[in-house]
Amino acid sequence: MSQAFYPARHLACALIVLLLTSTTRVAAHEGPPYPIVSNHREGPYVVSVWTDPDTTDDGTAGGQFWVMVQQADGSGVPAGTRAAVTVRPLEREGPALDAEAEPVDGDPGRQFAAVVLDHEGWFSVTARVDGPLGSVTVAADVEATYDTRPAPILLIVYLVPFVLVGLMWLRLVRRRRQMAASAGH
Amino acid sequence: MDLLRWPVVGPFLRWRHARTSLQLVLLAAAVVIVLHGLVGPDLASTNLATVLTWVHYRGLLVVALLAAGNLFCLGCPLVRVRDWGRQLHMPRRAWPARLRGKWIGVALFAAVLLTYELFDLWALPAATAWLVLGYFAAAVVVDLTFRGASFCQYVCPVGQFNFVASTVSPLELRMRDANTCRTCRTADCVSGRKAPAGDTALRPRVVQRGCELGLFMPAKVGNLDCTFCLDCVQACPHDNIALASRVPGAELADDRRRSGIGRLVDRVDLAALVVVFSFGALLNAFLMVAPAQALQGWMEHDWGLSRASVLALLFGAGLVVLPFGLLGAAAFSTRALTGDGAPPGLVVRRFVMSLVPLATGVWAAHYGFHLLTGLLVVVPITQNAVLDLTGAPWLGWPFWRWTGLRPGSVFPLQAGLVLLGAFGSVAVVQATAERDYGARMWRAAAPWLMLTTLLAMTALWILFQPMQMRGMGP
Repeated sequence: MSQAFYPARHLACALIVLLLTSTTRVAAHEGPPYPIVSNHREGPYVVSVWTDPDTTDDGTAGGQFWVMVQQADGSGVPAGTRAAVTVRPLEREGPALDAEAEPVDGDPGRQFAAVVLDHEGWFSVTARVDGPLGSVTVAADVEATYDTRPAPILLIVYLVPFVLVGLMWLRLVRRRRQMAASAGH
Repeated sequence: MDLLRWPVVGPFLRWRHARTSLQLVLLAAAVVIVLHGLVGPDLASTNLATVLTWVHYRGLLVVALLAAGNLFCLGCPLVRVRDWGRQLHMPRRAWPARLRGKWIGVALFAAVLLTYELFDLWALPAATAWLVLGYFAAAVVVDLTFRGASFCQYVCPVGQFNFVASTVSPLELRMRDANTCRTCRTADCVSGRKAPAGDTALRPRVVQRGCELGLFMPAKVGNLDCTFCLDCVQACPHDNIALASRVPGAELADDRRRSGIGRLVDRVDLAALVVVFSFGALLNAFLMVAPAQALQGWMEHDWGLSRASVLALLFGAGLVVLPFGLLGAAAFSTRALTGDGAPPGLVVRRFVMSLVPLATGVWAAHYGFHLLTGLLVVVPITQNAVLDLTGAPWLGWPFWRWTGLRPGSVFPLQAGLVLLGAFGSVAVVQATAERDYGARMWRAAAPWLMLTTLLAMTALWILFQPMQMRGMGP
């Protein structure tokens, strides 16, 4: 008996190979930020610092910081209030990295800065707030980690179960259709 | 496999208060969402309204659809509130005949996707709370005006999403034994179980309602329009309804006439719903990534358009122009390759259902990403809410570092879901072509297999782009 030819199955396999070989660019998603300073009252301000500290090797500024500032009474800070972030490695020698934060959507109460964290490990983070109400500094430590996707070869391994289930699905749907046809549906 | 005969699960699902208990859990969640959204912090990533609604609810809904079935319609709190309302006022009117169909649901589904983008709902706790309140109000008004489950069947955009996605769910409610249904003279599964004779006068009182969406069990095919409410299970006097396993997606190639629906190929509105569901999945994910942000910025600055105009253009292109062009091209190609004289619209309606598995994979990859990367944030936010409310850390100081999986580690799962969805779509294309074209099946299927490949590659390209963590970050 000759072996049946299933073009759909061959096409699906070709699709997988095509997809896996065409995806040469691997860019990490930005991770979910979390606060390292939460509603800290300092001088006339209440300051929070949120971070998404991704280590990168390609010079991408993966160490992201949001400095959230409001007045102690809960009202917004005046225009002209600026924030800056300084990051310094704690576990090895290295230069301090400074970044001026920029208001998000023009809101001085929510400012964003990004620096390059070139290795995994702990960093000290200092956020400075300067403005008409005064200047304050808050500090915290943060651990940076890589957030990379698996290498292509590993990705193929991860996708094998999906491919197997997919092939089984193809077979089941077709068999189901043939059973229905033979039952006169 | 019949879950209603499983130990523990079966007795629970057959318990007449099972649905109510699930509804009360989700109602409590809705109350928390509304209260925290209105009085809690403005920062989206610290508010339960935004996090529970846009991260957990959406993600868990898709997980439930893929793992079991339409569980969130089963536990829908809107129906609980509606039922309480109906104890005070029972509607008498039937839903207008000319409005029967999915067009309102399709329009609202697209409107929800557009509104979400236009007003940045993921970043607005109070607006999210008002949206939830508005949803409850709409459901109550519609269902206290019209009989049955009019809101679920014709209006609810989440319900329409669930109906379409549940076609690839592994479970469905169906009759156990066709002969039992053949000899049944009461049709309680759809009309409801009446009080014993003599209990009332001329018109027997219904003591257990039947299917409010008019799905008559012997003619029910698949999960479309099924809310998994289990009313039919409760109403059937013969215990002849199973919650059974099945081949996911096989119903998409089933052209039998369905109770309450008719034949799929005759329903233009259902085809439109599938188009919005499928291309909306890609559009919704695309608008999350950096190239989409750049495109929007370019259109705003270089074309001088407002953000609303830009989004209107993108939605028009993504949900109308692009589908029209791609589906039309595939239909004409099928006609040319097979010599089929069927109108192009009919060819589209035959094959459009095949988009559902891939689209469901895209929705699962997108919402699953947010769910898995933000799964644990609900813990510190709840701790913080208790701290704000009571002034004391009754649940401990917030564990702010509890977030979820690293996004990079979620990527293989996302790619796998899209790939699996593509397999499902290929399977449905193949079954549909075999059904309608016989020996010419591969000629008929070729354009649709190419379309599936194109859409799958587009979905994977989107996943490979840097994604904005909206709703999660400050």
